[in-house]
Amino acid sequence: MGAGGYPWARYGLVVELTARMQAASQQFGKTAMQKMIYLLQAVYGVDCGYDFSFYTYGPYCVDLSRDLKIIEHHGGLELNFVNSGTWGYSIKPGDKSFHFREKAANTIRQHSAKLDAVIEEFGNYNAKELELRSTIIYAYRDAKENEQQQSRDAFIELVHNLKPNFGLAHIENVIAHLDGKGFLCS
Amino acid sequence: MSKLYEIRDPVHGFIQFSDWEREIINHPSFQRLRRIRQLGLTEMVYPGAVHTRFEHSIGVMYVATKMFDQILKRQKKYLVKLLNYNDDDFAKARTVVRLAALLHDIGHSPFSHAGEGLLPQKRDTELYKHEDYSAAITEFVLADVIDNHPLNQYGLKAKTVADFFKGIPALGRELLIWRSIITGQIDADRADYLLRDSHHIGVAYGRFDLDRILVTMNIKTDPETEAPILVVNESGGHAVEGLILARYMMFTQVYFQHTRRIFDYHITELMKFLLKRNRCKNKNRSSVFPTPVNKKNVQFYLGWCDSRVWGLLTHGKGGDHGSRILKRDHYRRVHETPEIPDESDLQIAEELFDTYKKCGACLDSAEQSWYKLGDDDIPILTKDDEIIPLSQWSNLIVGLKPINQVRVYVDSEIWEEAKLYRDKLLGTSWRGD
Repeated sequence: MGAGGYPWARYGLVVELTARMQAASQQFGKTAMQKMIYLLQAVYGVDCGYDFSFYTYGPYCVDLSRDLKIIEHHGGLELNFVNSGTWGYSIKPGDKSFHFREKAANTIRQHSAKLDAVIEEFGNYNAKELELRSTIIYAYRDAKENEQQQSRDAFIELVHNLKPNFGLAHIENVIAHLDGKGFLCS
Repeated sequence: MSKLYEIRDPVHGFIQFSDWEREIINHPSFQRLRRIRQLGLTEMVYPGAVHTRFEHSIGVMYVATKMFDQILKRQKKYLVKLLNYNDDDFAKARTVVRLAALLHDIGHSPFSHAGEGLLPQKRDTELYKHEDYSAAITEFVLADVIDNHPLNQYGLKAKTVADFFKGIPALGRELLIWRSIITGQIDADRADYLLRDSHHIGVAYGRFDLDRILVTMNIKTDPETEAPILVVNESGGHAVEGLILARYMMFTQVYFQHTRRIFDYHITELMKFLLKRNRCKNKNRSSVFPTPVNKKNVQFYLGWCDSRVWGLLTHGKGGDHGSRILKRDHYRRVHETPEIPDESDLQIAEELFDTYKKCGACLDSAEQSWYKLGDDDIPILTKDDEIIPLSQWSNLIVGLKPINQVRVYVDSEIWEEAKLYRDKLLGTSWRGD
């Protein structure tokens, strides 16, 4: 118990990311939101206060999922079910999104360049590709944190094990790209 | 051949376990769970809430095994194709799931979640969680009884179970695929505690049709990302509605009950006081538990349980908050917002808190509760083989809104004064207790 109420800074960042993603992504849904917030925290060091855990579907945070419902309820976001073969949602700014962004104006200003950067680097990928990239970054950093030594080939094999629907060559290219950008180092 | 043992469980009936599991259960670190109440001081409100983490842990092992067996029975071909499994691989995964379920709460501090605020900082704004202590105890303390047991025919390591708690990617999808059974949207942990807490407390709020959910659980490829996910067949949809409603009702009526919550606060403050005194003796002034990074720290942690705290309390060593617990003289609720507050509701609560915080007032919100409601969008597999979220499938669930009620508590000595000020802020008369 202590400070209560709503974490406006965190909500504001979620709404701001959603607003900026509208131009970058054809469909910005719940999976893409999870992965983009993970990347914003892990790669760009913006502490949104979310604790991600790892599953076969990559990094996931249940608190973020809950926050989306709260923000939607208060008009900051609009979540629409999209019945198009995927079971996903389309997330857009709600009619009160301006209010959320205003409440978090200082935080948004402070991290504005990083929001732009994460969208420029990752915003055009679909949920499946975002899941691959966030999985690679999570797995690489976790191995490093746990002092697990492994060769590049062994790491490619691990990612292929976790994401078998991607070919080895594609995984290798993505790892090389992320490594080249310095995203694998924490 | 391992001998099987049985234990009579008040919720699930007879639960079987092996020689190996019996040795783990009999280990002092697991027996400690007999001395950690499942719901902290909820007994101050619901006197029947005196059950422990011990029986819950065995119950979770039972439910997790049922879930695993059901999914395997329904989808063995799919899993063989997906994971390239043979029967030994399935048996090994089943063993990991059982041990992880059994040990998932071994890292609880005294009074369960009430002690969560006493765990140290992990990084930046993130604190360690009891799951980190469960992993550390498994790895540092139980390695001998797991790694070297003669019935450990698959060469399973305690570290593998610890990694399973933590969700380490290096485990590979062969094991990670089962992690949702222990910690996910429809997991064995939640399934057990809702039923068990209801049973002991004597309420019906947490009851739901577990058997129906078990026989309709399934695994399917997510069409959006092509990752395997746990789903429930449409024929179990109403049972899942029951589960979600049970969570909602238990949250509002039990876990976030106003008097129960203030006792969480008193326990946390009491434990800070006790830890500081204890660690002062060891030239460490910290009022939090040590980090779970080595065996020495973990042994210190395991030395604390409810019984030890009660012993100190009854000997008058609990300070102000200890004395309050002994006399049931808790802080009193002076204000609470609606369950779904708007901004003006929150402003009133915050202003009231700001005015009285120098007098020891405390502010609580549903957002901070460990039992807060999470993602209810359980995937439902329709008869047409499509996956849709429960919130779209169910007209009932779509109406549930996230609760974020906020409350302000003060010492009874200033309650009348604070109440008058609250009325002034509200501009109307409101009656609390």
